[in-house]
Amino acid sequence: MAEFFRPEDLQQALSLLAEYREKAAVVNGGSDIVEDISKGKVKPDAIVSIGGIRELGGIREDGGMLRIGGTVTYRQMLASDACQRFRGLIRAVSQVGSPAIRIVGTPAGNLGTAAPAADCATMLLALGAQVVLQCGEGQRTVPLTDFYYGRGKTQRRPDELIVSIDVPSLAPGEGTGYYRVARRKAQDIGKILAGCRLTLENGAVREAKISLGALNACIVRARSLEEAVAGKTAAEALGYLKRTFPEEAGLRESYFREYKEQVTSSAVARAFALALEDAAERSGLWQ
Amino acid sequence: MKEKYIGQRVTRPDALAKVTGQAQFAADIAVHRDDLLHAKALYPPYGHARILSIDTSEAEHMPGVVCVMTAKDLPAGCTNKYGADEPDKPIFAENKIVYEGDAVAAVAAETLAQAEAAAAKIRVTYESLPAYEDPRELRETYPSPIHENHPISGQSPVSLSATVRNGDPGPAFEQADVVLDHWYRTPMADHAYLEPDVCIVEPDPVQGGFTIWSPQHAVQNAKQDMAKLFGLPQSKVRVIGTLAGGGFGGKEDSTYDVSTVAAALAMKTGKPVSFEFTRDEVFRNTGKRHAEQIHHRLAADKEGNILAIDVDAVIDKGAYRSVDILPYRGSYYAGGPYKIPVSHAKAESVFTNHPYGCAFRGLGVPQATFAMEGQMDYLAAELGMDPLQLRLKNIARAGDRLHMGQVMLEERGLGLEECLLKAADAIGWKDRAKTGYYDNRGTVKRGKGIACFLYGIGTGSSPDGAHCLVQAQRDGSFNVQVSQSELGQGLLAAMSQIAADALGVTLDKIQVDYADTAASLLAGPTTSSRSTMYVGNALLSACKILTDRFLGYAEGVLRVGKSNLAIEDNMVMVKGKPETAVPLAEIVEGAYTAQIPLAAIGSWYPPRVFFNEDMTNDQMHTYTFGACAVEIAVDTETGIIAVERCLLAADVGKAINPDTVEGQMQGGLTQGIGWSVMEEIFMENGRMKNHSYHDYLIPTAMDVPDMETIIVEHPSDLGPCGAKGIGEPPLVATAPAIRSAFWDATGIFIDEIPLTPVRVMKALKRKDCAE
Repeated sequence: MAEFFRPEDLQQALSLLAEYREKAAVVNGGSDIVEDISKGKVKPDAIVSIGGIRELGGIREDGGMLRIGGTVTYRQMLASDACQRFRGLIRAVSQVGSPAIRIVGTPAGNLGTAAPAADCATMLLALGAQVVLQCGEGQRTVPLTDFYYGRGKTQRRPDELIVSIDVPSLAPGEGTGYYRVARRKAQDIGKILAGCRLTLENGAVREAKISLGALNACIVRARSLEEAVAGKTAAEALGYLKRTFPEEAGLRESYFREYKEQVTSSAVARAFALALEDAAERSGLWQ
Repeated sequence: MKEKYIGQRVTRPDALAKVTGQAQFAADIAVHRDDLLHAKALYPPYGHARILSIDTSEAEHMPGVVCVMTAKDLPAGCTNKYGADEPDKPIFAENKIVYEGDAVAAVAAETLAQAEAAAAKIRVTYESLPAYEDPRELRETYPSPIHENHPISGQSPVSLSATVRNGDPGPAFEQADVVLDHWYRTPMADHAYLEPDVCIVEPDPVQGGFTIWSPQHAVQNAKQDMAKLFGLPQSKVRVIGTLAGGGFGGKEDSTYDVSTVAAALAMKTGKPVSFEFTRDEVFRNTGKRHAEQIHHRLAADKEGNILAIDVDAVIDKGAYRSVDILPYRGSYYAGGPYKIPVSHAKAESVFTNHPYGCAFRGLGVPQATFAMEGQMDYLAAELGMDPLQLRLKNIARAGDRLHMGQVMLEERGLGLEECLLKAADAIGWKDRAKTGYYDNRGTVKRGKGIACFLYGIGTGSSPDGAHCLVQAQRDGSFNVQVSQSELGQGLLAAMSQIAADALGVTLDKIQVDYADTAASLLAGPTTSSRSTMYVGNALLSACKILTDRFLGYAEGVLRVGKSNLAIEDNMVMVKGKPETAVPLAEIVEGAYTAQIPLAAIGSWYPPRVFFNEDMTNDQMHTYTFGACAVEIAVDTETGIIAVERCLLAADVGKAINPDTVEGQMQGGLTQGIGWSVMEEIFMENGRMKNHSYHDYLIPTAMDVPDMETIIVEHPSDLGPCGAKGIGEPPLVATAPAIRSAFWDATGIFIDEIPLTPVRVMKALKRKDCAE
């Protein structure tokens, strides 16, 4: 039987993690880990519930960063003005699970679980997010691109907590978009996820970040596409994406493989098109 | 009879208790009892295997364990074979398992956790055997590799075969202008009822036997089948059907999968035992909709008249017989609601290592309708005819013969034409043909589809009657005692409405005692969309007997002959003279004092049916008709279909309660959309790969549009106030309507459902390649 802890401040939580290390399970919304624990896939000695830690709550934008606290839920993001500016992020978050899941689920949990078909994490990857990790000895910041080792494996050490997810603020000309392909409209794991953040300058794509989910063991950036579209006009870039299957997608043999081969480029192009639209509208706002 | 409540939107008595969480389901009853043992069974990790050894010694010594059972420990007299139609399924497998839901052993312990821990310690060694999954291949394989000696089928791979031979289709096919020859495929499906299978079985220490509490479709059948299984007199088993959290046909025999194990443990231990499946067990162990592969050939002339059909349907029976009327229905419904002069229609159910195929809303008719309606669209395409007009041209009207020889009778209510016209009108069918009505140049393409059906009410086999008991209380209230179950379909409302009007009392005077074998008579199952018609009629007959008695007694009180007396609003009066009114309670009390019996049995049987030698027949006395129309959007880049409009016009004869009729229509359409575009079971080596709601997708509220319903009423002279039935029919034509709309949108026919994104993209790619 595991011991259950509900620390009220960060230091308490970190010392528990330092004590139990690999034998501790960090729980907040519990939408993934509780299932794993109840099925016996995870057998912790200590369950550390972090929902009550006040330092980890809150969303704020300062120093050119949108900072999403480690206990912030999807629903809080959907209600946050600061998050609204990132339309792709809002779109990704609003498609997670169901209202019931979004009330308890958190983006930090989504990163920590390192599932291949993580909506929010996929979008955060395209946004250039950084993960702020803290342990008793101090803090470190890891770019999300370096955070994953593989399916279910991340750089987080057992004594660390994700205290914040930081996303660079949007500059003029930037736009974001997200597109998921799923078999039903709610309560479903996406089959293809695509996120995009781009900068539009005089009708041309100056820079684009494109992320893919559900196509590999963990979410990935599609650097080959990013390089190819840089400098192209919006229309050229879109046309290119529509006909190009990203080489970063490492499809496994499965019932859905052929389907994913057929549909991925459309999903990427749609995320890209949404980002273009957003960028155009936002630059309108700036002018 | 004055129709005061019949035809009105009466709120279901169970609605409020259910939405406020106060209604008690079987699992709730178990939670509140502290004297129960808890059961856990062990199921094999194979779809097909030989059992080499079972070692229960470690499990027996686990904490809290009261009993561990295998086949050899069953009580004396137990046949170890059960089933909804014919007994062929063991409680515990003896030598071989033929699907992954075959229990090998079970534990009863003081707590569920103890039972689970002990079950995990049972050691079984298996010899894995190849799993057989393709019924088309298997039906030629003799002896059957699955059942070495099946109690009914012996060594045959075929469970049941049925053929309609109405003339010789050979010449018709030779002379035809158009011959269509296609294979249609429809999948297995899980019922996805919210409440997992669950029961409490309690031995009776006073008179012997036992009582079962569980959600049921047919308490009287369960009583009979459980008694037979355990070698008990049928009188010694009492079955109480608790409120069901959904059944859709599945619980007709999935409930046996839990109650047989619990009863064996209860009899062994002498203690009450509860057993509830996990969701995983519901998926793996319980019955599924029969998957079918239907080879449908149709001959027509160039005007679009159907000349003949020649059909061969292969039905995936799964591991056990369960409800195996499917071949009869597959052949019977092979021609849909159309006049067809010549027919050869064969259907066979073949054993596989899949979960057993069981009753599921529509029982074979949705499969047959998918094929026949698919043919109608192919024919429309071939001849360049409007699919609606083609249907209107061919539907059987009064005096016309269906393919199996049945002549359609006006007096039974023939509302199909009205359904088709109303559905077409509501969906805007006329616009469909207009050039440029849809802008389908982009990646999303829209289309409309329509499909129609008939659905026979009742089981179609004799005897298929119903009895009920109505008891007057001395205060003028009534107990209506029916063996039917409240599955969420609105039984209580419909029975109360019929009884209140037949007795001339207000609704509050009626108490429906339901689904308890100790308080009801044989009335057949709560299936086949039959309860309103069959039990409703039996109810009318019982109420008539009682009102005759009471009015006979009232003659002496009111000094007027009973033909001039009436009961209205709980008062007995001279017709048209309210000032003469005497409370019914006083009349009943007087009748009681005068030694007049206060209870009556009501009965009703439909016309008896027999097969002719060539299997032509008129098995079904009354049909519910319907037309389903949909509008869909196909995203051609992702293959995702959005059903944007879905409507059903159904001829129900008479809607006793329009609210519950519409509820059935909406629910059936939703389930139909799931079956058409989403629900899919993946089997691998006889094992189900997607045995959770995480992987087995059913539509959410966001995946279905607001369901539009149109009630059409062409009364049947056999129904209570003309009523037919509506439980199953709404699902029947959803799949072909969606297929039809997909064709309208893309120009492509797909002959296999569900139309998942994967299947749609494959079809679009094939078309691209072809162009």
